[in-house]
Amino acid sequence: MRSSLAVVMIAMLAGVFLCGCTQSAYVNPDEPDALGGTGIDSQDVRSVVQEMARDLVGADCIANAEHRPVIAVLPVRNDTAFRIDTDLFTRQLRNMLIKHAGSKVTFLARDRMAAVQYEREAKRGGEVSSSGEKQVFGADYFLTGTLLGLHKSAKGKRSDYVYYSFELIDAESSAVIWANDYDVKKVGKRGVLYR
Amino acid sequence: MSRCGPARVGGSPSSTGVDGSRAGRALSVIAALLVVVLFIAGCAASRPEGVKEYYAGEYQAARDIYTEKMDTQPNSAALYALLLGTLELTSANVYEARECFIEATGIMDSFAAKGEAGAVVGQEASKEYKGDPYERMMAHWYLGLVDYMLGDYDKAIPDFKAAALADGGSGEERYQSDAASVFLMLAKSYQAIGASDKAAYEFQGAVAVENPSLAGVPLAEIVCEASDPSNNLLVLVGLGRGPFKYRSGEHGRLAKIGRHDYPERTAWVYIDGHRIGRTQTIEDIYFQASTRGGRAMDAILAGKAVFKDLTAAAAAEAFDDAWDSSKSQEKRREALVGGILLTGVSTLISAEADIRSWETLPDRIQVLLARVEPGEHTVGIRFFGDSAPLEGMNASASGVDFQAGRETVFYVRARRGGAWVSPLQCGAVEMPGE
Repeated sequence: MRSSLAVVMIAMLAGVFLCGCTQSAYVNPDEPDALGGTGIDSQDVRSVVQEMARDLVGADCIANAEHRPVIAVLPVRNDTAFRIDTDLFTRQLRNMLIKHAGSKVTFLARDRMAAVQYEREAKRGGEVSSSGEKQVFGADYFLTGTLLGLHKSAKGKRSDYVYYSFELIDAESSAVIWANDYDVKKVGKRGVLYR
Repeated sequence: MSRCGPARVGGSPSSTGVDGSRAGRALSVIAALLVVVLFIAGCAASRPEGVKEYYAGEYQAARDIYTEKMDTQPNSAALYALLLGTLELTSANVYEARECFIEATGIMDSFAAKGEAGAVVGQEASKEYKGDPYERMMAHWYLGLVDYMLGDYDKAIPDFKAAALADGGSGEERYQSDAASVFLMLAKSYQAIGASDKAAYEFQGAVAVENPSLAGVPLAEIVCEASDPSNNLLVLVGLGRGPFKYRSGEHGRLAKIGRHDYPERTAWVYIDGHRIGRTQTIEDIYFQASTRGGRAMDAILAGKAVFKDLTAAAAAEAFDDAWDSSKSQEKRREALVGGILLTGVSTLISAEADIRSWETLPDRIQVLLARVEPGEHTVGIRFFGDSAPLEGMNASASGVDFQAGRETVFYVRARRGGAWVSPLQCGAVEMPGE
């Protein structure tokens, strides 16, 4: 009986070593994944963006604006030790604001200005058709942010504090008319063989 | 029928039946153990392949090996991505190099550990390769360098910060953050985005590193040149072959760091044939690799070695009992089965250290910063030994467009060629005479 049990256990052990086969699955981006680590994860990005968007929609400069404000998104500056694409924040934030407050704000696609200019010139040159000329909008506000980090690591243990700060800047006066922040601290450790 | 047959050597029919059943089950256990041994011990701990081809300049052969190994050896995927990244950078394929370093650092930074349970019992190399602290530091450093070369300073900053963290978090306090090259490049990245305060802070960090391998290196002078915005030429050269690992101690349970000998000591840089300066050491990678002290892994390996010795000794004792005619037939049979089992367990326990390492790193990194008049120039790099120039080790790039206020970056590997990049310009440095 014991020997049979041993065989079963050893077979299970072999199974553990064998289960390195490739697998993939859809997971909820709001939940942590199995890879661990203390870096910036999808749930951090989504939480930050939701918090910022909710607050910004209700901000006086948007909710009670006399005319529809025009906003240009500037790249988020990443001063942490995590190599991430900060467009993840700006794109999601912009899209969420358009989704929930699209009638109250206008966003500028400043990162597509080259294509806009090219098209405008082609229209004005008669190379392509035109449905009417418009002026390129100037921005009332810049929406941008900064990611700052405090990182510690010793003997396989790791601690990371990331501070997310977003602000709306008056494009005429440079005054910061809205700001909000969010912070996350994570600790973790590597497996014993990797310390 | 067969499970009772072999055991029918005497005694009562009932006891023979029981013994035969036991022996059969024991054999099943042994067979199952052997299966496990095959899966664990099958992952032979060895140095990476394709290194010889890289140093022989057989780049396509090396590339084929690395690409194939990334698919067929998933536990070494990060290592082969690093090897491929080095190769691509040496071949001036800067974008491809960046992809490789991104892939490698993604695996190395992950806390998930495939094969760790197996490595505790079996070969240490059965665990997923994530590199030693110096390898993690250099992986982030090279990723940062490539981002810097491509003008992507917003990515270079976190890369160099991650490199500093990988180095600083590696153990003994006095060696924390002693990587001058990391601070230097982090400072230059800050400088490039106009964050002058942060740049100044990191430049100070580069000067302040306590690193005995840089004794005699004029770090303050290098930093002074690096912080001068009128300098528009940055040359980084990699000298020699980087550190490698070999096994030592009983059962090969310890991984030690070896250093290759190589002739090049420095490089002189020429603009249109005129000598403008000599490169200075900013990083000693062998020093970084060999000053980590005992990792937790050493202790585990030592414990495994003791356990391996104990099981082997117990097996020998069991076999002695099996041959002892003064003992009963049943006791001798049990001793024999026990001896075989213990031998299997002893074989299963592997204390051999993991000697996989990033062997295509250079041994040293040197740097030169200088100001070049705007316009097209030919840049020459000539490597020197202790006193004389080394034949066949000249690199050159012609038609390099220098501009005021725009930095041109060269990364050259001694003997192997390299990349020169300024924003929107990529090219290969020719290195004839191999």
